[in-house]
Amino acid sequence: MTDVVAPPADQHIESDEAIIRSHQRGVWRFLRWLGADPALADDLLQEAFLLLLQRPPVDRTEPAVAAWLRTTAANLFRSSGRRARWGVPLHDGDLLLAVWQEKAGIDGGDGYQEALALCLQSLPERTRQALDLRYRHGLAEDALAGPLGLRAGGVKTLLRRARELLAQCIRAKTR
Amino acid sequence: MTQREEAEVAFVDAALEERLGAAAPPDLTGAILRACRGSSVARNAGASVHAAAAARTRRTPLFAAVVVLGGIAVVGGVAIATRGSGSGTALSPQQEPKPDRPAGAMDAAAHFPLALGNRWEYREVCGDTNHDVTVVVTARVPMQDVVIAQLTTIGADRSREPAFAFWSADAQGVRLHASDSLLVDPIFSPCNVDGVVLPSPVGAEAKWGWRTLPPKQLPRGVAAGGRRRTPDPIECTATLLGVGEKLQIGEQTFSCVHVRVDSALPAGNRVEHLFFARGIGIVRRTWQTGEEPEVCRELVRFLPAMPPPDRNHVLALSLGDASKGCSWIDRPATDDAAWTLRSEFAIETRPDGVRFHRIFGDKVGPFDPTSLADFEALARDEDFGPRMEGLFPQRMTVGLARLLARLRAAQLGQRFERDNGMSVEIGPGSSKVTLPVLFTAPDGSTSKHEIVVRTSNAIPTAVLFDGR
Repeated sequence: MTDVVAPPADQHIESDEAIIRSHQRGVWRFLRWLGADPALADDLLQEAFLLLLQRPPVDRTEPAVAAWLRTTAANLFRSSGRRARWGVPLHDGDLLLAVWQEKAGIDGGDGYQEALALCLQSLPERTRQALDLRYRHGLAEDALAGPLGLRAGGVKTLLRRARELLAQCIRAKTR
Repeated sequence: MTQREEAEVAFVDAALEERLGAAAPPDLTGAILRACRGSSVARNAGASVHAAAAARTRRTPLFAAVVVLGGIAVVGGVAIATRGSGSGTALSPQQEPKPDRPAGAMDAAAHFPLALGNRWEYREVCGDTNHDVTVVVTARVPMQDVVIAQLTTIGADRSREPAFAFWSADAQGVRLHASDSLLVDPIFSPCNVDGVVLPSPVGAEAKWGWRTLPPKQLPRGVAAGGRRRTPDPIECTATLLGVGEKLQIGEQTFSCVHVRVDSALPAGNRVEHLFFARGIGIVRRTWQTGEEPEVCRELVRFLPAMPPPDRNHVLALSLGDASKGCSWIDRPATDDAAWTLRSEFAIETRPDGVRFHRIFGDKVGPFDPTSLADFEALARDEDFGPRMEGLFPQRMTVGLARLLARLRAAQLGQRFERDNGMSVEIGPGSSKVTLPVLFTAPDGSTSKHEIVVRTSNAIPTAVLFDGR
């Protein structure tokens, strides 16, 4: 007669830990892309993983878990009532997931970040300065006009063009 | 623009916030696992399953309210209390850890950005005379729990000799660190004399003080053969005169934090006014000592530098899987190279021997320590020229000599233990360093070698190891 022995608790925890470690960066970036600020992304990330661990899906393969987490995270974000980031197709779930899959589906966005770092180096100095003031120092677009010697409209155009150039460059590097 | 292209641009927007805005993904594994265990306990005790949600780390008021309403604040409190130890700090793609949140509007650190390569160009006016002054962040060196930024000022007081100051900026504020050196020296020599020039959050304190060392003067004791001692610090008293003060410089208007600093120097009482603009740094600085005329330095241009890409990523893009087995040449803060070189060196151990790769920004290339041409290319990238006055040529040459020692030791499978005294010859625009060094082999045996580096006009002209 064979005793039925439950798996040690440590093993279960280790498995959960591996899942969290493997997916959390991607889910967090996904939430940030949708429009969550860092604090909200932290909360929704935890919420999504708790739901996953409490009611795990039958298919626990990596792609299935990743898809489950993204769908849950998108639903939680919708429930939060926050406005989506400009340009994010929150209303079109298929497009939303397709764009994410293309940009960060494989590595959760690590490769995209590496490509971005390289593409930033290729921008003209003035454009890099504008991005730095906007993103690193958190200056509003209106406040950039003075240091850059541009009108407010010019700043807007410069930043929009910079983002488009970066998108093209990253597309080329990650193709 | 199609909806898909708009989504891609939004993707860039989010990625830039992460890359430049210090908003890197956190590691919340510990918090989630604790919450999960809390949920098991709660279920066993017959409590609501919502206890699990309460046990995790919360950052938004919405979820905090749910915790209170659910009557499970105790569980939540335990989770919050354990957040600090459980959730690891997320490391940024940079070599240095990024702050764990973007700078707030009143963070002092945001008023003095000290990224490597940041450059401020000023016009300095004193009476009827004026000239250009440039300040550049030329090194950032982690020391214990703080990253010290070396700021090189070129053209101050019409001097050809650059001046060096050492600053840091963190959650406590913007801090000036006095360096206990004989003369103006690019190497930071800590002496526990530092102070917060701009405390964080800005506006919380109206008056504060700190200590610093008086301006450098030729020490009489050394000339007389006596032992030099650290000069007595002077007290500085700062008064916050304004926050959001409008300051017109040329055609630009800045919103500034205005600080007045009073100090008693040997030459007389000094009154200094500093105007910090968020995201830019010091846009105006005036000072007057005793009866001397007032000097005014105003910003002409601020050129922020892009953060350097992560050296491991750059290496991986160049070498592929081979990069995984590489290690890096360490440069401790006590080494001249830490304060004079920006290049990083990776060691690749292959069956046919050791190879070196030099990383400078996003560029990677092989580096042969026996090749003078490689050292010349290194010097050109580092742009030593503008800083080649005063002590800098020696520091640069010593830094190159110690670098050569580390590379040669690694090539031999040994460790550069220490140098054993050195001799320095200085000529007009040139210097020569002879560095006897001691290497230690893995079996503990030691061997002595000699490094010689000569430079002329900021370019190495000889790099010799044991005479070759």
